[in-house]
Parts: sequence; C-alpha cells; structure tokens
Amino acid sequence: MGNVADVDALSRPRARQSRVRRFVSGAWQRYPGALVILGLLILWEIAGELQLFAFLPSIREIVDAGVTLLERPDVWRSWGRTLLEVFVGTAIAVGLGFVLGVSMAQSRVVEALFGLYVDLFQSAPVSAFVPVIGLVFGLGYSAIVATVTIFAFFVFTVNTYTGVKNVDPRLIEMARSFGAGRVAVQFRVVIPAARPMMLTGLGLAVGRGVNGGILGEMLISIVGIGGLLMYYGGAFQEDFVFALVFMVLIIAVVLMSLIQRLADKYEERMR
Amino acid sequence: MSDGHRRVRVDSVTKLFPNAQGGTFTALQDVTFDVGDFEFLSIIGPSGSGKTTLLRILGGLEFPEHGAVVIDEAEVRGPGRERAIVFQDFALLPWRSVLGNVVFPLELRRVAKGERDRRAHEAITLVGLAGFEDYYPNMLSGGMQQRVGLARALAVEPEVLLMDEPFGALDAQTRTVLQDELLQIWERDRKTVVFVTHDMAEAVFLSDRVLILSANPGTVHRVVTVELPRPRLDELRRTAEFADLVGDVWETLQTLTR
Ligand SMILES: Nc1ncnc2c1ncn2[C@@H]1O[C@H](COP(=O)(O)OP(=O)(O)O)[C@@H](O)[C@H]1O
Ligand SMILES: [Mg+2]
Repeated sequence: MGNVADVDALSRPRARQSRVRRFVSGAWQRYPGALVILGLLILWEIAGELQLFAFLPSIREIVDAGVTLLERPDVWRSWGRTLLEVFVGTAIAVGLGFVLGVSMAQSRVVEALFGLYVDLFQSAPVSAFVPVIGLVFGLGYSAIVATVTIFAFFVFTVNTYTGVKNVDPRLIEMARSFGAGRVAVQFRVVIPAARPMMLTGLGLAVGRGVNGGILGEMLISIVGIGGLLMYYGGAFQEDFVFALVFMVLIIAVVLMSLIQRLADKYEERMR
Repeated sequence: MSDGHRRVRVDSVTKLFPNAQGGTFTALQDVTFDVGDFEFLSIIGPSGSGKTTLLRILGGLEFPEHGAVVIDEAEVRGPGRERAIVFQDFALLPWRSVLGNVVFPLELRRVAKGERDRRAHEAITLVGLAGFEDYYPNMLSGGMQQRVGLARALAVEPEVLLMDEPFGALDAQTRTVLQDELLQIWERDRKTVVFVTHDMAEAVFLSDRVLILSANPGTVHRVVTVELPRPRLDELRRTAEFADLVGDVWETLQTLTR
C-alpha cells in the first residue's frame, strides 16, 4: 500500500505540469492572434524603455500604473459607476431595440417609417451627438446612460430585425398547423429562431455601450473611467492613461466574448 | 378499405392564385373526392398540379375560393386538433431536441407535462428513435429527421394524417425503409391518411386508392383502386400485380405530362 501511495505522490505533480503545458500549447493553437499581441507588447516595451517616442510609456510603467490604480478605492468606485451606466444604458437599448427590431421585421409600415434611419444611424458617427445629449439630459447619470443607449441601440435593433426577418416561414407554418396562435408563434418560434442573431447584437451593443459610456463621461460630465482618462490625459500621465485604456479593452472584450459564446451555443444547433 | 363512412369530404374545391400578369391562376378546379374512415389515400400528379395546395387546404392553412372541405361533418375553417401534417422539408425546430420537437404540438395544446412526455416517448419509440431523445435535428440524417416529423404528428393522436411528399427529400433506400415502417405503424393504429407524392411506386405500395391529378388547372383525372392485400411487405414490390398497377399509374401520368 505504501508503495502505491508513493507512486501517486510522484505522478500527481507531473500530471499537473503536463496539464499546464497542454493548456499553453492549446492556447497557442486556438488563439494564434495572441502571438501577434505578445510580439507587439515586446516591441512596445523596447520602444518604451528606450524612450523612442515622447509620450509612450513602457509596458513596465503602464503595469505599475495599473497596480496603483487597482489599489485605489475611488478607481473601483469609478468602475462601478461606469459599468452601472453601461449596464443600464445597454439594457434600455436592448429593450427598445427589441421592440423596434421585431416590429420593423413584421410590419411593413413600421419598416417604412424607421428602416432607413436605423440603417443610417447604425454606421453614422454617433459621437457627434454626445455634446447634444448633455444639453438635453444635463450632466448626471441620465446623460451618460442616454449616451450608452444611443451607442448600443442601433446595432441591437438591426440584428434583431435581421434575425426576425430571416425566420424560416415554414417553421411558422408548421406551428400554425399544430394550432399555434399569433402569440405562441412569436414566443415559441420567431423569438427562439432569432435568438442567435439577437445575442450577437447584444455582444456588439455592449462593446458600443462601453465606448459610448466612456465617451459620454469624457465629453459631458468628467466622471467615472472617462473622467479619470480626461484627468490623467490633462496631467500628461500617459502611463495611467494607457493602464486605464487596457482595462477598458479587457473588460469590453471579456463581456463581448462571454455573450458571443452564448450566441455560438445556440447557433451551433441552428445549422 | 373505406367501410362506407366518409371521414373527409372535398367538395368542388376551386383555388385561385393571383398570377404575375395581375390576373388569376386556377391552381385547383372543382376538385371533389372523399376519403373513407381509416383509408390510406395518395394524391399523385405532375408538379404544379396543386397537390401541396390541396393538402394545405385540407390542413386549414389555405382556403378555397369555391367549395369546401368537410371533416367529420364540420367544415374546415383552419387547423384543427383532429389533423396533423408531416412536412416535406421536416420543419423541425433546430433549437429543440428530438423530444422537444415531438412535445412541441402537445405544449401548444396545453397537454400536462407528464402526459406530454409519455405520449412523446411512445411516438418516438414507434418511429424507432428511442435513445435519440436528446439529439438535435442537425445531428440526425434526413431519414431520422423525418421520423421525428412523423413522431411529432403521431404524438397529437390525429384522426387524419396529412403528409406532403414526406419522403421526397430522402434517398431511395431510406425512402423504402420509411414506407415499410409507415405501413407497419399504420397497420397497428389505423388512421385516415392523405399522402401526397410524385413517386408512383410509393403511391401504389402504400395506398388503398391513388388519386391522380392533372395540371393547369388541377383537376381529379382518375382514381386508381389498389386491391393489393395487406399487410404489405417489401416483397410485394417485386410482384407482377404491383408492377402492373405502377405501370397503369405511370401510363396515366405519361398522358398528363405530355
Ligand atoms: N401562394 C401562391 N401564390 C401563387 N401561386 C401559387 C401559390 N401556391 C401555389 N401556387 C401555384 O399553384 C400551382 C400548384 O402549386 P402546388 O400546389 O405547389 O403544386 P404541386 O405541389 O402539385 O407541385 C403552381 O403553379 C404554383 O405556382
Ligand atoms: Mg408540392
């Protein structure tokens, strides 16, 4: 028995090590893009340490700044505020976009009324409207939330519209043949069929929402993470600016890919 | 096999569609026929002869300009609980599992959960898909998908089963296997079946009568009674009587497609 236990004790760490190695090599195979990022970071670090560009801090300095930021409770509060604005704004965008997208896809009249504008605004530089939002909504939470909403609204609407428009009419007919009424067709066929497209739209909407939220904070009321960015930019503390930018990027990418993964899960079956 | 009782009565049905020139196109003209209780009736005809349109009218998904469909003394005014359709392209919900697809119509009809699952499992077993309940449609072959389509229709325990070229999208081998199985299921639990096809051997093999439609406009051209004994097994396909009947239907269709 003692022998068996020894063998176990010996093999366990080795198993763990190979698991780590497998994870790393698997990660390279699955995300070759990570190599590009790593290469860029190395170049950046060299350029930074050699001080090749006047305002380019080194990666080391940026990481130091990031650690400093993470240690400050007011920075966490700023994150809380920004994420709350993004959450509420995106939620409103999703609610409104769902209603408009579904109605546009199912009613000629609504489509004729709004279709063109939704299309235009989806690719229009909405940032131009941000100062106007400040004028309308004041300088508080609601202005930033409104900015997020406007940034997130159009992608979600267009994706919902496309998803509903592309529902296979034969499935609707099948449901009707088994006695589904209008409501049942909506909830049991149309919306589930459009769900992958709507989730993709949600992922994009969150990305744009973060974008809108930070921009709103920078241009309207200098609060939250956008406010911090303005402050450090004004103070020429580029290491802090970059540290914040990276945090924003990471959070946005993580949120978007989580949602996309959910979308993929549904889409996998739809093929 | 009709025992005199008429389950379905199609009475002078005329169906018009708007055509591209702004006029009307007569898809079905004055179509009249009966389907007896527990009868297996096939409808065959050249493409464009209105077979699908006729089946959709029977299903209550389309309405005739003139005439009516009467089932059990009641005029068809929409889909009904006593009917179920099996679709040519399966029409399965890709986000639902096999079980989820089969319980779908039972959910619509607010059947209680326990009863729902019991009936679904029974139907799934009947079509030979026991063990595949948790599979999704995209994991199944065409033949298996149509088994799901059939199980879904059987689960609602219809009196009249409407099938629109249900095996038309399948390869020849799978098609004959499913024909055999459909007959076995039907022998065990007889229903009134209206089966649309463009496959003559299929029509003859399955049916008590074969209704031949002509096109432009769709009218009943001829009704062939199939007196072959039941139960019908695969060997029947290689008999002279079978070949004669198929030849008969084939000649009639030849004159129609010329
Ligand atoms: N919704 C529709 N609008 C216009 N024409 C139609 C419509 N549905 C069917 N038709 C026409 O009616 C005729 C019969 O169609 P269909 O019932 O599909 O024939 P089959 O199933 O026998 O091939 C065809 O000429 C087809 O073009
Ligand atoms: Mg057809």
